[in-house]
Amino acid sequence: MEILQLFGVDWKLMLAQIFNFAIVAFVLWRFAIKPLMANMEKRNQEIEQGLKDAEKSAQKLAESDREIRQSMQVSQEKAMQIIMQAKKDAEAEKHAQLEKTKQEVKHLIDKAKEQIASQQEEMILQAKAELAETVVETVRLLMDNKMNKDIDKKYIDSMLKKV
Amino acid sequence: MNNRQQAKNIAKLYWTLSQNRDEKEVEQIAATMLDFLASRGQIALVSIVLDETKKLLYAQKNQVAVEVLSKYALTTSEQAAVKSLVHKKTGREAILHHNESSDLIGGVKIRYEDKIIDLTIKKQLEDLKQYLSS
Repeated sequence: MEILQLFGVDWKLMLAQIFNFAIVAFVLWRFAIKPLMANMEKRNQEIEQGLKDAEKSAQKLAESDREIRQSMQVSQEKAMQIIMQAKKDAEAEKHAQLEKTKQEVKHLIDKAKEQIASQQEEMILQAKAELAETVVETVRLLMDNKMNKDIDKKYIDSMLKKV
Repeated sequence: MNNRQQAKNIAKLYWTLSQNRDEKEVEQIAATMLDFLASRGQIALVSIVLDETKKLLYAQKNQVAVEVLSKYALTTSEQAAVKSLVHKKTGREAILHHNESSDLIGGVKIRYEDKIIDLTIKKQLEDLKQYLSS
């Protein structure tokens, strides 16, 4: 007590100040710090929840992205298969068409050759017939002019001997 | 049955019926045949019947009727050659019936029974033409 008095401390005043401080501290704790702490705790929880949700969303997004990539890859493979099949079909069709065209061309050429051969044969036969007609007619005229009874007799004799 | 076959049958019948008959009976058979043909509207067959009857007559005598066609009349040696040829072919004596044709250039065409030996120049030329055309 004496020491307090030596340093000029009034213990009554000091008690009053402690009491006042306690009141202020209580009021601050009750109406400011505690709600603030609760609010902060709530915010923390919300942030944590938000982070968790964000992480989940990121995972979902990554999963979706992976699924999309897989789906795209499958689609690409399918598309490639379809394209390859279409190419094969087109190639086969082209080949078949080419073969058909070749056959048609060959048929046309063969037909043309046949026609040409037939026409040639016909022309040759016609020429032969005309030549034969001319030759025979010429011979007939010559023989008709030169023929007389003696020649005819010789001819008949020779023919009868041949029979 | 065609006209030729029918005429042949009638000729055979006429010929068979006329065997060992006298002239009067043969004439009566001929008249009956003519009436038969006329009644059937086949009087045109008479000439064929006569031809066939001639053939039967010739056959009985071991002869064969030969039609010979040529541009000029055949000489005796030609006729003999034709007769010899036909005899060689048929074994029968050839009775020649000659006809001349100005359509022929030369040669001879011999016809007996159903056979034809065409030795005409016309035929030779036709063969030549056929040969050259083929």
